[in-house]
Amino acid sequence: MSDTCTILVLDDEPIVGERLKSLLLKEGHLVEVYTDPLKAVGRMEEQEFDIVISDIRMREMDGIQVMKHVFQKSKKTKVILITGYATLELARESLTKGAFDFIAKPFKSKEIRTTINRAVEALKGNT
Amino acid sequence: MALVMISSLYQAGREDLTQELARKTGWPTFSREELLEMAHQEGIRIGRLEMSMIKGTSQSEKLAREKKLYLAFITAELGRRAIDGNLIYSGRAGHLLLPGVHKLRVGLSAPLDIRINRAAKALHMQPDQAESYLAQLDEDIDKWIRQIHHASGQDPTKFDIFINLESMSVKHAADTLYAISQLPEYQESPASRRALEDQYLAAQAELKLITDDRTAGADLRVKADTGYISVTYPPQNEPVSEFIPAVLADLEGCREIHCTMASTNILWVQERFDSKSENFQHILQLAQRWGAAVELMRLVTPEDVPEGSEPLGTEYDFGRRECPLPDTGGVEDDDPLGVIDDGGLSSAIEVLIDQGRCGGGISVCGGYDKILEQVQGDANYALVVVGEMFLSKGKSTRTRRTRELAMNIRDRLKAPVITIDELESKFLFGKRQAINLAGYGLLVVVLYFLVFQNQEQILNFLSGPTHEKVKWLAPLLIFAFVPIVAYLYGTVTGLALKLIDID
Repeated sequence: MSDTCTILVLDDEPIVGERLKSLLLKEGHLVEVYTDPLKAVGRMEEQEFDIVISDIRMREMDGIQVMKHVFQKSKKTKVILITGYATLELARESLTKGAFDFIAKPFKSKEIRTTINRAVEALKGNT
Repeated sequence: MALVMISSLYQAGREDLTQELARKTGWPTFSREELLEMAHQEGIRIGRLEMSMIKGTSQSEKLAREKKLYLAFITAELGRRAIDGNLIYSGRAGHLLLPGVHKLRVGLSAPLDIRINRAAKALHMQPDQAESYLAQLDEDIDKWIRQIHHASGQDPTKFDIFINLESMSVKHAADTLYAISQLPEYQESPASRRALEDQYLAAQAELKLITDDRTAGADLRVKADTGYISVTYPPQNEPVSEFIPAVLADLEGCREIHCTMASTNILWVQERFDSKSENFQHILQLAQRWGAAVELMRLVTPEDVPEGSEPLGTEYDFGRRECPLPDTGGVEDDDPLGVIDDGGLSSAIEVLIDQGRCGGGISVCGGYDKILEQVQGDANYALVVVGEMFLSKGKSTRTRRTRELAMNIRDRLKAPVITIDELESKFLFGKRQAINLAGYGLLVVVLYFLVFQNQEQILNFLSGPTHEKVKWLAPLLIFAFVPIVAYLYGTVTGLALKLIDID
């Protein structure tokens, strides 16, 4: 597997998707951004992504439900959950249910880059 | 007026018990979850604080101020609600908040299998998943309580009552809590009312000072006493002190504001700091005993500055908390400077802020003449400690130059200056001092025993027939003997006083 990954970013705040997209494109990844979880889940039915970055607190569906959908489609996809409302309970729930990482907002670009790099390495190990 | 603080681990039944008690009494409730929601709205980076329990903190992240802000916020919110009447608070460690205030501190537990079943049901997990989830979460929460409140969440001495819901129903537990809360010990007294009002006022003042741009970076200690607020600041925050009255001007309930510079400060000069080192712990121990703030001064020698790079600035802004930027959605740009090697200064400052002992930090680039330039002659230091310096030099050069630096600072400051090697022997009571105390104490006891057992011979020697024969011998021996006794006795007394923290 190469270092270029397909990444789906889901956050109901458009600014988050925009900023993450610009950051991840610079790293050479293929990025799709969604603000509607239902549309994102629909897209995931069509295509398998290497990495999914999802917000947790959204109106139609929360990030943990999104993660469940991801794993139904592909077990090897790495899910990174991000939220501004992080608690230990939520972080441990996410990690226990299979999230690759859990990041509390606000975070520096370096933190998500490091996590993505770790996910890429883990994906390489899977193949 | 009743104040009931229910603390428990996750899924131990605190929500059920809180609701049952509220249903029975009609008292208002407030939960940690509501508090967190409010903290988020106020821009407190509570999520970063929580996640630091799992991931630790990066060098660039400064969470000690966030923790102070969080504690001030929770105290202010609880104070605001408790001051108006009854309150039931449920959370992780509410029993550790509002010390000295009349409150019923309730610990709650439930058997692990019940908690596993509840967690599995609530979170749609398999029981084995829920078990592993709870095991990790319990560890995280224990760490949280230790780091935020500096106490163990399970310490029985911190509770008034601990309820196990294994055999007691929630209804009976609520009945029991109601009955206990009516006891005279848990009623408001003038003293507890005053403690509540003081803590509420101090927390509000602290919130204002931490969040106001004019005072946000300062290391201020705030206390309130019947409407009088006293704010103490370390010498390097003097420029900020003029803004304090303005920041607190419209604070309701504040009758007067006193701002004073801290009179006890320790200056520690060193090349590299390590907050986990023994020396750091010694300095912290001394600062806590004296109630002193510790100012760190780091010397960056010219050879430590990589060729072609700019020398480090002389001062870092350690104090200012990083506020979430509204227009980034929480995805922030990296620090343009990247992570710099600051010789452990920022992480040492973080620990000092966390312990409430921060007197600021400064980095000085150059030789030790630069340190002397930075040391202000009028600074009010109780002690200056010259730590591990000139690390690139050989041991003898290092020792000589450290002593020279100590002497030069002493001349400039007229303050007691010691090297870090002398700190333990002069001010602290450690293993070596314990051995010395035992050894010298034994010598003194033996000496006294011999003197009292041989009084006749001694008196004979001093004024009896022996003295008559050789008159010059007694004064000569006394001349030699008295300083030895004085040294032994003085050492034992000094160590004993140090043992009971009297310097």
